[in-house]
Amino acid sequence: MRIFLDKLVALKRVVKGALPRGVRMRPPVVQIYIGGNQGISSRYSLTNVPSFYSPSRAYPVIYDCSIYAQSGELLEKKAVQLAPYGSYDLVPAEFFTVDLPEFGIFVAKMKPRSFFTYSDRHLGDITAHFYSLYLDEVTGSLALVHPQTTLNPSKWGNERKWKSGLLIDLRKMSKILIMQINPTKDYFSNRVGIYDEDGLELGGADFKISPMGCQAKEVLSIDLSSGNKFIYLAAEQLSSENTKPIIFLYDKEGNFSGLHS
Amino acid sequence: MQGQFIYATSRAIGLRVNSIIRNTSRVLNPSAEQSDMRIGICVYQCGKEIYKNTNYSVIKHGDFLEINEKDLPLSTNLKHEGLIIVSCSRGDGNGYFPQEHQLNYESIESPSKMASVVYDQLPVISSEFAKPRPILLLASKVWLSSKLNTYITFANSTPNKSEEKVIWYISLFDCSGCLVQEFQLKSSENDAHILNVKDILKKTAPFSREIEMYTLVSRGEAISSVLLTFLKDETQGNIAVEHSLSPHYYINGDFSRVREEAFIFQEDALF
Repeated sequence: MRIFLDKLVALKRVVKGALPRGVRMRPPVVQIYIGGNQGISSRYSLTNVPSFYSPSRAYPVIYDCSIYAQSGELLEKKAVQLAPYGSYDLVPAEFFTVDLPEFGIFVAKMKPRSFFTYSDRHLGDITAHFYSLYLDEVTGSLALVHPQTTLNPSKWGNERKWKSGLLIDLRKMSKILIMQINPTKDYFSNRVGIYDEDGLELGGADFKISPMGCQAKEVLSIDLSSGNKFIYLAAEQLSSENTKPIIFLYDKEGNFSGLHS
Repeated sequence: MQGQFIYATSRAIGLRVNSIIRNTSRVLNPSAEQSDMRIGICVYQCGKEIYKNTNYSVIKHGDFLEINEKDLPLSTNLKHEGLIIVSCSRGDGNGYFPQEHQLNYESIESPSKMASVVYDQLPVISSEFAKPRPILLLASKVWLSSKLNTYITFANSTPNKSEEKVIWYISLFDCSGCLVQEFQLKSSENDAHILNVKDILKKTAPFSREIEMYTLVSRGEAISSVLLTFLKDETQGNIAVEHSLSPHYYINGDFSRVREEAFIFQEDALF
């Protein structure tokens, strides 16, 4: 059985190598959108990725972009074309025409302008990762986050626990904003706990997220008492592979820094 | 099992760096990895080794070690960046084990301004197998305005002790795909450098409040290297940092061919 499966995988690789680029793109990449009343603007850097890895065969690409509300409702879809070696600084407030929510999910899927593009087959499957920049014009706070995950990724089993590799110095924080997305077709709920260095739960937040939805919860540091210097986040499960929460860490002056946990 | 965590100081950006070296489990069988982690540190400045301690510390499973920049024997000259290589050993054998570590950056002027990044340690490549290979890296992205600047830090490391230089070819593209600037960054094999992208662009007209975005591509031959992107609000001092994504995040095909063609890019009619 194992030998049969290995042969099948090898055959699939050969067949995929003969298919046009229009077929061999990985699923869309997703990231949280923040805007509205938060006073924060989001922007996403879309790049013609294949042109840099296969420069002599560069071709134009099209990004199909979507924005979803916190509830998971699709609000708008719109496309943009990028020249070879080109990029696009997508600001949802300028790009989309609908009224944007306070939080949502931004989705971007890249494809070649011509479906029957064969010239860069040696690149294999392409994932069009983009970077997200979150800015607060008033405080000058910034957060730069690399891509989160792809749409409808393989689900982890319920037994898959997650523990953040990030240690947060609680003494410098006034609050933590925890943001999670659910880029799947199923409803999802979890508790993101906040633990001290000894593994003692100090507090946390409970999430219930619709399919293609997202949620943001604040935890005040005043509610987390610990004799230890550092805290970390953990959960019994995430909505899917690599959907680690994005967190904003606010200092006592209201400035934030942000990163994936 | 071995790994090395490579990072650089960021004095040119007005920052101080502290690292948190972790010893945690990432597999579904955590009991297999619950062993102590032995730590060694090597520090370079201006391409020269200035400190080495192969028995710096031991981290118990589940614990961590903080390494503060001020505790390292770096020159007080803020124009000289430092390269810090933390070697991590756990269990038996010379194979690689993945382990995330953390960097915390804070403003030297205003320590409340800070940013953190977490990324994996790299494999340790012994001198026997250490050969530079072409690398092509897309930096996170470059955003510039009258308030905003982007800095890219390069940290190169090699086990070789030769006098060879590493040359990074840096290209900056605007959103339309036009090459707007390119130059070479020459570095010692174990060294750290910071690029101030506004300085690279050498724009004659001042930047406006409107944010401009560029793609920065760096191509070079290196053994181990780490690129970080910093964004800084130069009026209020806030910062953001993120690591670049190696090519395997974007593609999963023929990396040998991608490496071969990485330098065709340099000779292409595009330039």
